[in-house]
Amino acid sequence: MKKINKFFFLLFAAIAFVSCEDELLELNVDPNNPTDVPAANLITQSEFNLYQRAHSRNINGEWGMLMVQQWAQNEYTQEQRYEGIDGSFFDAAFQDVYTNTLRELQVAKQMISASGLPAGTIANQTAMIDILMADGFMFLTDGFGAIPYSQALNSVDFPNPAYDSQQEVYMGILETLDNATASLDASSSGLDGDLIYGGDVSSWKKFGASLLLKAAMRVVDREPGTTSTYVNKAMSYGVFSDNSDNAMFNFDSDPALSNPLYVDNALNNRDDFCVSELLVQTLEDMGDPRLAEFAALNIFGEYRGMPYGLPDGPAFDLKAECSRPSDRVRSATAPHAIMTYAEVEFFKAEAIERDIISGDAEQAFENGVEASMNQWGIADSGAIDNYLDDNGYDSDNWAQSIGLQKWLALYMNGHEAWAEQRRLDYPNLSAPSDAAISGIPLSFPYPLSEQTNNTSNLTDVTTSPNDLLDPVWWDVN
Amino acid sequence: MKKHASTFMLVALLFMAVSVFAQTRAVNGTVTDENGDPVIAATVSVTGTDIRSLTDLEGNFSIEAPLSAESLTITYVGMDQTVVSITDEPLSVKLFQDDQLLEGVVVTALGVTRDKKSLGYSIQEVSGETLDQTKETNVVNALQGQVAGVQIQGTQSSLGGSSRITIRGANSFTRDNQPLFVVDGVPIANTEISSNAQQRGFGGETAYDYGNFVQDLDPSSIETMSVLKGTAATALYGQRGANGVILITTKDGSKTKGIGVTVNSSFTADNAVNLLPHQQEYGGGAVVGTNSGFNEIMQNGTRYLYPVYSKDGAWGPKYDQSLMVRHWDSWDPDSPNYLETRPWVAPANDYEEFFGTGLTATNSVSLEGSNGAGNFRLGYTNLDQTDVMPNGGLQRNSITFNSGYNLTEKLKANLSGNYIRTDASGRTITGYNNGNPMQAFTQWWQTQLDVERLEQNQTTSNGSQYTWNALGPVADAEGNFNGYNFAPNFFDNPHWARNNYFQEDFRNRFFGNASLAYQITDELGIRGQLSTDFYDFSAAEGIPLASVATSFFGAQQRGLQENNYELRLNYANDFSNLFSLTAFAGGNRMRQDGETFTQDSNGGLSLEGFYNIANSAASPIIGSSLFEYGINSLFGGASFGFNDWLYLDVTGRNDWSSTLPDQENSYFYPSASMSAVLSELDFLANSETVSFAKIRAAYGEAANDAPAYSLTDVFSPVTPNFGGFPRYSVPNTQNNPELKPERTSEFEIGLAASLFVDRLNFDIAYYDRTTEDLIFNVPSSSSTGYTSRALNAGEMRNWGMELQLSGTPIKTQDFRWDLGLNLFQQNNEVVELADGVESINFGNTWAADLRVNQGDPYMALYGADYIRENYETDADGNVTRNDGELVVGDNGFYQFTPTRQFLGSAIADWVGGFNTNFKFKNLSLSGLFDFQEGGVIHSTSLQWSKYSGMDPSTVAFNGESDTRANGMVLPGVKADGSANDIRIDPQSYYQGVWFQAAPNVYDASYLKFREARLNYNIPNNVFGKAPFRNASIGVFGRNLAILSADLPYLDPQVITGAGNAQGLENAQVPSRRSIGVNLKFGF
Repeated sequence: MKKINKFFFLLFAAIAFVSCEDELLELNVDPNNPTDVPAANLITQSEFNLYQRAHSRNINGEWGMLMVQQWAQNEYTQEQRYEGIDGSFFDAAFQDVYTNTLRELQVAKQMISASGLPAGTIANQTAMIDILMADGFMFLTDGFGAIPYSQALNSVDFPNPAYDSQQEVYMGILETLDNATASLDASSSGLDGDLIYGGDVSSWKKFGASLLLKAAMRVVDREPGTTSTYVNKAMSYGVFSDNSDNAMFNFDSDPALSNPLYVDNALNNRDDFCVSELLVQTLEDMGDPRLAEFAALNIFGEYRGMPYGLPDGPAFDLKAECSRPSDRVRSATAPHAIMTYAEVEFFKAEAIERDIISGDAEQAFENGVEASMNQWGIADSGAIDNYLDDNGYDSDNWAQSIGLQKWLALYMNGHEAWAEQRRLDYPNLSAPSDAAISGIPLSFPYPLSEQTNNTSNLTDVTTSPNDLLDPVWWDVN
Repeated sequence: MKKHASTFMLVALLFMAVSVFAQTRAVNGTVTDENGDPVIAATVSVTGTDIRSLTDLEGNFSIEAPLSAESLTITYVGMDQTVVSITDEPLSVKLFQDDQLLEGVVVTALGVTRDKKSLGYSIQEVSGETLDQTKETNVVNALQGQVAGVQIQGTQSSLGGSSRITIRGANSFTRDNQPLFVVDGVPIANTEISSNAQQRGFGGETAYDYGNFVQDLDPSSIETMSVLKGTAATALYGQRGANGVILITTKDGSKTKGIGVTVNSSFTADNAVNLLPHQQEYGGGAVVGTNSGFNEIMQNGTRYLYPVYSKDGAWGPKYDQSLMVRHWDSWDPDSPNYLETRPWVAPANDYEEFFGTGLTATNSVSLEGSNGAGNFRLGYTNLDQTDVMPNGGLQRNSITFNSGYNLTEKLKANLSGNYIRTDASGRTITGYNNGNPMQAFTQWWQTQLDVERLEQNQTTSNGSQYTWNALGPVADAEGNFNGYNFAPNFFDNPHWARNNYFQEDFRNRFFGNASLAYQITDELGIRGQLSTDFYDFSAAEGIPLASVATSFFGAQQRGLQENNYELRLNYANDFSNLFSLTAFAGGNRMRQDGETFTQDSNGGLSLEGFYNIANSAASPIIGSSLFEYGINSLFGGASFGFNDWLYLDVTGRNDWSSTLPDQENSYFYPSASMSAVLSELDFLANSETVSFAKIRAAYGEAANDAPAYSLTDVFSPVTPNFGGFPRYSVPNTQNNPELKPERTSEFEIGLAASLFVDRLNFDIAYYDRTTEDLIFNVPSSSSTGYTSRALNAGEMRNWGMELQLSGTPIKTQDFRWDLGLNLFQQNNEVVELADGVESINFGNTWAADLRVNQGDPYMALYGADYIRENYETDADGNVTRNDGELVVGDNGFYQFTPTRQFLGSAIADWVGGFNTNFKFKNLSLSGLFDFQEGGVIHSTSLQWSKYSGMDPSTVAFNGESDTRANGMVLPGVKADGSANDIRIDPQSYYQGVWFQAAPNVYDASYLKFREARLNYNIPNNVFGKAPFRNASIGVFGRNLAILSADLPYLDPQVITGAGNAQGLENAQVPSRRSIGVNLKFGF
């Protein structure tokens, strides 16, 4: 018996020794990541992430600025010939915007609505988040076309979100921007953690209205009635009225937070881009003072553009003597222009020409050119007037006039410039003779991650996910 | 009393049996071991009878044998059973160490020593001597070709680099698939810190390979290693044994009576091998639009030709002895060879000369001994290694201590400890980075470059970097020299980089245990053990300001400690001859905690050569991560033996894990196995042919918990703050509060037999293992806001065969020839992923990507395939048929599938090793060959070496020479089916298809001559009265040759990290061939 007692004693000792459940559970409390943070910290991160992405080597350098032929590659020239671009090329951009911007914004919105803040503050902050989210969705749909939208960001109900047509996405964006802008009320506070306007509500209201104007004009070839409704609403809310209203994302001097094209060039020592012959020629022909702001002098002290679309060998031959982008645009703190007053004036000119709003299209056009000049540091109004005299507005060919000036005004915002060039079809660009495909790309290929992780929903909207020549819905011609 | 009674009965029976044979004679003799030392207490029996005797202290025996008896059988634990004919002369019997696989004892789970024949599952032992004989420094590499059921990815390449080992395939989609290493009962961490990106060759500018940390273990301290393969064998390790267990017993002093000292010294010379060759008909740069094809510049009234230095490729002008050109090192105005021109010819020293001879010295000394009360061993090993890469070195100092002491008759204490300090500097950066010279050598290089000149002229006369890939001369608009830009375009001078990049690291490692065992009764004992394993790893890395890469300083400290507390009751009883029982029950408490601190410079450095975080240009980026984890366990098992021929084992274990939710964190899993020793049964007992045979069957389960901190959603800090605004993000993986354990179950059967008096032995096993409810981050459409969700989902199956075969074709007193073969055939299938998930992307290179894809084997390689004559697709565009000749398009280029296709998996179909061993008196000669059949590899090195014009196929192809001048015709057919006759330009072709995977996907099969060794044991009598004994001298070679491989030039086994992402080669660090000598003596 004694032995048996001993045995049981030891068994009990062993059980006691191994089973302290509470202590086990405590071990699993994550010491590295908090379970609660202020919404403001998510806002800061999501704004930085979205506009860093829009200005990145991938989106801006190797894509947007090449698609509109303002830059040209001087070595390893695959992208400017649209070669070897498949689903992996925009994988990171797609994932990044959804998971590192839109998701953060959505969580911040939920936190704010559950917070004890005054109702007016909650309404303002929610509206600002909605505006940012609309801008994020616009970035995605302008590139990809159809995207997950109504079922997006809801992994519980929709683990495999269906794609919405670009028409549905734009209707949603317009409605969101409209409601959000309308609800902004300067008598209550705005967002904390905002890097664009420091949470200033009236600035955000103008930003919302200007984005609404842009989104409405984007669909004009498809839904002129919708465009008209929302453009007029935007005007009534009050769009940008000078450059001080511009929505600029100012990168920080800290290299971890600085202009990604600066990091690419100055820190990573990449020197793959020159300004294009087309850009230099166009600016020189027009006597445009922005040339010195856009481009750097070459080794001979001249502005010499690189012909766009050359294969590797011929491009490399010219590498030493072609002009690089200017130091101004490659500086650490060069901003990303989210939306500018110049763009607003160009949209107004177009809306006037299309009889959506009333006004003087030429004046709007000239306001736009002047705003762009000012934005690039050219303040001499006499010089601008002379320039406008030489390069005047042609009402009969308004799309050509506006398209060309918009193309110039959107320098360094390649993704937006590509969208407007596709929509207006001006300036009239064509694919280089050494291109791997028959035209200039009209959309992003769908991400490899979507091709593998959301296959059936993607197949519902396209069976050729890698096709670069499939136009997005608003791109009618 | 019962037991004693039965013993008495047995003795009485024996006595009676002996007295039946009245007609006997006395046979005398001596039994010695290989060294001529007496074997004490060996069992000598008259073959086919129960008549036995033991040898005495001098190894002498005397036995009464019946006149009819013809032979004696001599057995001793750990030695081969030997049968000798009875003669009238005194017999002199030499016993050889048991290298055989079927009999004797073996260490099993939890350190329990068992009779091999009683085991119902597969287990394979490797002796420490085998592992150590060619002085491989990484214990995983030492297992190459030694064990059936094991695949090793990795080979001796980067200094202190990684090797990956898997047993019976991979069980988990995204988590560690490597076995648990247990040393003297202490689980030790085999941490590997490479990222998925590093495993793919894109780990960034400081992707140093810090190795798999189990290599801290000094191979010379290993006595034996048991490889526990199946779930039934490992069930007692719980979830941690789910990938197999490698059980290591270190040497102790119990074999040495009194005090002994052993000294061992070895010296090894390593050379870089398997280097990709460069074509040597055309030089580097590019042919430009001048008449000469070179760049031209006027300087001091002379027109100079010079190649395009800034171009990192070899599509330059054809070599021409008569062309005098300015080479890259002729531009420093203060150097003697300023303005020098030299002929445009192949270099005197191609890049192969970059590598030095690596030297490894391993010196160890051990002091060991035992007496009636206990034993001890104290060992020290110093390893000092210089790398074949210039400026790399590693030192490892190990102290091992192992002792056991009988405090009383019933109470025994054991203490063991291993302390290892590793210091390294100048490790090799892996993958696609300027800091890895292999990126230039294998992918982007100018063929005319002479590495000796690169070494001599690595700095200009003012001390700044001088590289071949400078931006180069600047001309004015008239073509006159107007300065030289020394800044590198893409590549630093490789010698300069090796001398100026900064890398240092050290690791302190300790593992050991203390235990007390008390024998309560004859049958029942209790044992308690405390064990710990911890390391403290610290590394610092730097990139100089003058490098083409962003200057950098980064430091990391990593620590991990695991403590185990175990209490166990053991019960053993031979109830009768017919029935025996051993049983045990116990509990274990495991706790791990760890931390990682990182500090990285931001925006480069301010001062050159000052590698400290204070030198960061902008505020540094700091990271900190802490970790805690625990498992509590209760376990038990029983082994039943019936009549010495039928054995049954059952085990059970229940784990409580910290990482699962409260209601799911307790889980139980059982195992059962059975072994039937057929040769003990009547129908085989007297077989001349079959001396041993058993069949076995086993079933086991295992469960596995979740990674720590997977249950609750959190926010991740993002640094630095944006101008005073803190930043947090929502993690990209959605955690899951409802996780439950994942489950593995495995069935295995086996047959083992010894034939022809142990001359031929084999052991064959079949296993089939399925893991379900796998916990992994199921990739989701990122439009959900998450790139993945933690879920229990998916199923993976592994099944296959293992064969161990060994034979002794010749065996005489003086000569013996042994052969051994290990063969492993494995199958793996990703049976199911989560609902709606067909594929997990595991990362990519430009042309290929890795996927875990339903229906494919694990880690499937995808990329564009060639289109062949018979190419058919279904309505969804899936390729349903693709065979016949390769098809070329109108441009004469091969055509490729528009979507990526399954091209294979890195998992081999067959893995094996073949060894042969001759012993003649004191001389032994052994060889080891190992091979892999199947598996695929995609080579980015070959992709770019073709693109950049370095590969020999860019100048000669398919029997045609000078294809750059004459063009080439790809073998294949045109769209109309006729033979291709379209002549194409190699440069256009290679630069037009680089992003297609198929041209650079190869079968990963190989056959390697892994080891050879010649050893001479110096007979003890040579030394006369000198105190030396057991002296030996040996010469050996390791990684001697790749005898056959599909992958051209390179070594298909080189990896850049031991994680799951395998099959993508990128700028591989060359593997090494080693030749060495070894000297050992004791006194």
